Amino acid sequence: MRPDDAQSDPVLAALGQLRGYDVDQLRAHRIRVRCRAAFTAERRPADAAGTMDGTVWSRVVAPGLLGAWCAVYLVEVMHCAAAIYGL
Amino acid sequence: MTGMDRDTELSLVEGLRSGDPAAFDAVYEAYRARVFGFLLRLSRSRTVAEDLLDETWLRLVSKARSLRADTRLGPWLFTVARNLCWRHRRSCLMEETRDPTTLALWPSPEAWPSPLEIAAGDELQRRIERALAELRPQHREVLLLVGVEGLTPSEAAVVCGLTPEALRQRLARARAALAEKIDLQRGGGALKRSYGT
Repeated sequence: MRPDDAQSDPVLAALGQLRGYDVDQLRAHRIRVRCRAAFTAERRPADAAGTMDGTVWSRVVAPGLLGAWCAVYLVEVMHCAAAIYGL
Repeated sequence: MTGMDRDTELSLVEGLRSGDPAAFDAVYEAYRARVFGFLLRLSRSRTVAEDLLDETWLRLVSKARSLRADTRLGPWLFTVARNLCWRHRRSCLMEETRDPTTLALWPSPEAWPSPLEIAAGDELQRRIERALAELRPQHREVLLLVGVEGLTPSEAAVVCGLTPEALRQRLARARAALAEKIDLQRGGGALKRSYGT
């Protein structure tokens, strides 16, 4: 049986005409609410992952900037000391 | 049959991957009835189908972020639903071997006809539904996927975990079994007349 046969075959065509079914509205709504809640809960870890930028800032960038500022301050102190002693 | 163009499907998959609740709602609306119909006909029990439908959607929620960008939602959902249905069937069969009184958990042919047949008004549809229900589950699932849900044989092969060739063979056997059950020798003309094929 080839894919085209699925459209030309009367038995398969008859299957395609069968009526559809659905859960009742209340049940459908309950499933949606439950899954939505789970979906939102699943999103929280991802949101937390989004705040990794903040973690990176506090753990890497901020100490780096502080270190650079300290280095500049130290150089300036040594420069001033050298000026005082006429070096 | 899928009722959703590929671009829409891709954007919904992207929405699911990014955690967009609106994407979930859209997918739920598009596929809820189809998945339920598939489960109902495969399990032959409304209660089981409702429970498995619930579980299918929860499975989508838990896997949404790890979906591939090019996921085909229909085959993905039918694969999950089908696997859940088989797992349920296996667990029921295991229970049966331990305690014969639990045999009623898995709907037997005697449980049919009930909701579906009562609902099916048309005589021909009723005969087809009854014949479908009497088929082996392996035959029933391929007919449901290809004939009812409109999946291509290749997509159905993925859903059933078969090679395309194996699925084609199974589909041919299932089709022959169904035709036999609905008495195609006499009813084939009726089928063609009824559906204009």
